[in-house]
Amino acid sequence: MAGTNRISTREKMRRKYRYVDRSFILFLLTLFQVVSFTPVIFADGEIHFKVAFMLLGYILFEWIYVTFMHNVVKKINFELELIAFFLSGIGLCLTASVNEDSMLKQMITVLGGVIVYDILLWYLKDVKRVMAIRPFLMAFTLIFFAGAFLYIYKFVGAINGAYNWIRLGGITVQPSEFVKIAFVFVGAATLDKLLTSKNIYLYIGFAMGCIGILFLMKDFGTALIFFFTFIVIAFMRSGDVRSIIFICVAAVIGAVLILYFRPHVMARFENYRHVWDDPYGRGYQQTRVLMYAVSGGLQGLGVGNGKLRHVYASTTDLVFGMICEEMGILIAVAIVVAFAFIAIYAVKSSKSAPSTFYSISACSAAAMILFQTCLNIFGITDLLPLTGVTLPFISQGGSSMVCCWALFAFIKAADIRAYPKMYKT
Amino acid sequence: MEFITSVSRYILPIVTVILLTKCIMTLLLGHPKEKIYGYIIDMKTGEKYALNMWETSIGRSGSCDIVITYNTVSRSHAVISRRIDGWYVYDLNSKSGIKVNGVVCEKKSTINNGDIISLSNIPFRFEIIDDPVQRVGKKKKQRENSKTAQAPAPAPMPHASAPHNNVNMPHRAQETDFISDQDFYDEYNKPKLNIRPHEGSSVPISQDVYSGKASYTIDTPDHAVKQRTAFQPRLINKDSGEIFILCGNEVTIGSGMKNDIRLRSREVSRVHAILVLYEDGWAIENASPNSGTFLNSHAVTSPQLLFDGDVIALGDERLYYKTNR
Repeated sequence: MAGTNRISTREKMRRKYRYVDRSFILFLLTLFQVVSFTPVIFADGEIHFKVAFMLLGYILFEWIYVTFMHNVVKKINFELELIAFFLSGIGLCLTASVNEDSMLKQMITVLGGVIVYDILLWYLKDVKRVMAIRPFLMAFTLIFFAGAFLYIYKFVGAINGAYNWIRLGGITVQPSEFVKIAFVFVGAATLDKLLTSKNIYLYIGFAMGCIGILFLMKDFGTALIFFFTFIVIAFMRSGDVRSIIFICVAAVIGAVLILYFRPHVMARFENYRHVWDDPYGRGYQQTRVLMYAVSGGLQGLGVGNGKLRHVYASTTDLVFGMICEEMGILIAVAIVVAFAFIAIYAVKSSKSAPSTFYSISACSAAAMILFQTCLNIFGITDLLPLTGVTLPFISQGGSSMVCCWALFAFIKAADIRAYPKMYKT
Repeated sequence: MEFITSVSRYILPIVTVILLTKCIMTLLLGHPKEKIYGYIIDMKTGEKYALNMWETSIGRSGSCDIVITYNTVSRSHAVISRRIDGWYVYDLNSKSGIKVNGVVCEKKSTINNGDIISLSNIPFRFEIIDDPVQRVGKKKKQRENSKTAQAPAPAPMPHASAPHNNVNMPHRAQETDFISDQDFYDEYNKPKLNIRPHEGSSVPISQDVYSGKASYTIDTPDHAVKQRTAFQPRLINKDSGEIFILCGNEVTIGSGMKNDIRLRSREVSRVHAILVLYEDGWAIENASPNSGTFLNSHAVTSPQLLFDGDVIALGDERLYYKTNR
């Protein structure tokens, strides 16, 4: 019968989009980066060779990485890596346009992120190995985080009102970014471990410990990200909506009590929804973001032609505003949509993941990235209180970059196409 | 410079949209479709539960992937996991435990196609559709083969079927205070009397045992008869040494005259228990609500599948169920 050989439309689509044409995507990536970096290289009527060489190095690194992984490691799918390279490239371009000396440091952190990504992806291959290290990682993370806080509190002091930066020579490291990786790692578990009471209590203790230390550090933005991720993990583990509602209500009551009994915490949020009351003082950054982001229009003013670049933290917290102004709202929206689709992809992958560990870790990592993106974008546009979190992959910052690549490893590991040698797809 | 800027304002959004669309489409649409890897089948009701995830939880709780409504099953009873090296069943500290082919599973146990997984003595047959063992690298395969070749030959087991799980489990017969399997086999191999049909049976022993009456009593050293009945399911009375070969589809046990297997004890009810032949073997059902039937010291409340070495207690009588020599 003719009908028996007919392939469904869905199957046709699946076959058509099974692999991305990596050479074509790499070509587009290179084109994008060359075009976006050109104004930076030829800025101020002179040629910036340093930026040109670093761009060349970055493009070569992308090509070599993909070719090596395809031909030697025999990996097939590179979509997630290419998206990460694309986002990191935008961050590099904006960083170089503001301060070309920072570009090298940022490039090294991208390289570090890629190494962490591949090591983590290799480690996550064996679920038995992953489950064996979890208890040790849990204990180590709590000790490391508490130790880091004590060290910062005693020897470093508060930077921008929070005790979350360690200075090691000329490098500053944010320990909470590395704890994010452990938070996802420890939160996930295989189903047989997941349904035991001991495992649940241990994780609740671990999560409360991490969030508590973040409160002591006064890093409320990261604490909020951790709490949101905790909610996602709790839902993934239990599947019980009532428990989640209970946790949220308890958290809201706790937050209200903190604000009531500790009014100085409230002072950090008093600028929220009142940025136009003091546009040259407390509301300076957000009012500038709102004005300049709109002035960019759909296609932007071109890299290097914006005004927001002169505002403090333009390449870190306010980088989304800079993208809107210099690259246009079209690209800014495309970036946000990409993050949203990555979260959808994580949910889709989790259904056929080879273990519940992968499902939970992928969804929580995607939720963490998406929530951080929302906090950043809504924070600088005054839709949410400004918490000072970074925009994943794009904001300048080494710890954040490494953490984002590591979180992508969790998302990738849930897709059985990540390990073509192991699973028949 | 202005030319480059104005060109880039058009090129960058177009390239971004194409690049991200291509990557996202592949991420979302090129994903392998979901499929069913296997089934577990409730042998009591015949209900079939599909295993379409790598890890499937089973229990009474509504949050489990497979919800089983038997009262004796724990809320979160077991997890069936598909791993690269095979299938496993995990016991989630359930009260009534898990058995795989009649062997107690303490924490985890490997399972193979056709295995019987008993959750709280409720039997489920496990069927694999898709074998998880994939393209293991040549080196890994060679390593595994060499390991197998170098491993010393396992000590011969004097009794019982080889359990499928790789976890050391005590055989259930050792947990009871009844005769051990070895004692039973010593007893069984002793020269005895001639074979005779069970009372009430009109079928001569020379006929095929499967074609005639439901059970036979054998107490003979006759080599030919022993060989012929060696692999047939049978019940052995611990005290009298009587052997009842099970045949037909249903066998009744009790003190009444009309039973296929008659036990002459006052503590045994007239019709005490019924053995029913299912597709996967013999199962026991209690027919005496007052006295009760016990399988390996657990009360039989629903049909329980019998496995080699099981001990059935009816009143003060103890019957051994054997399938292997």
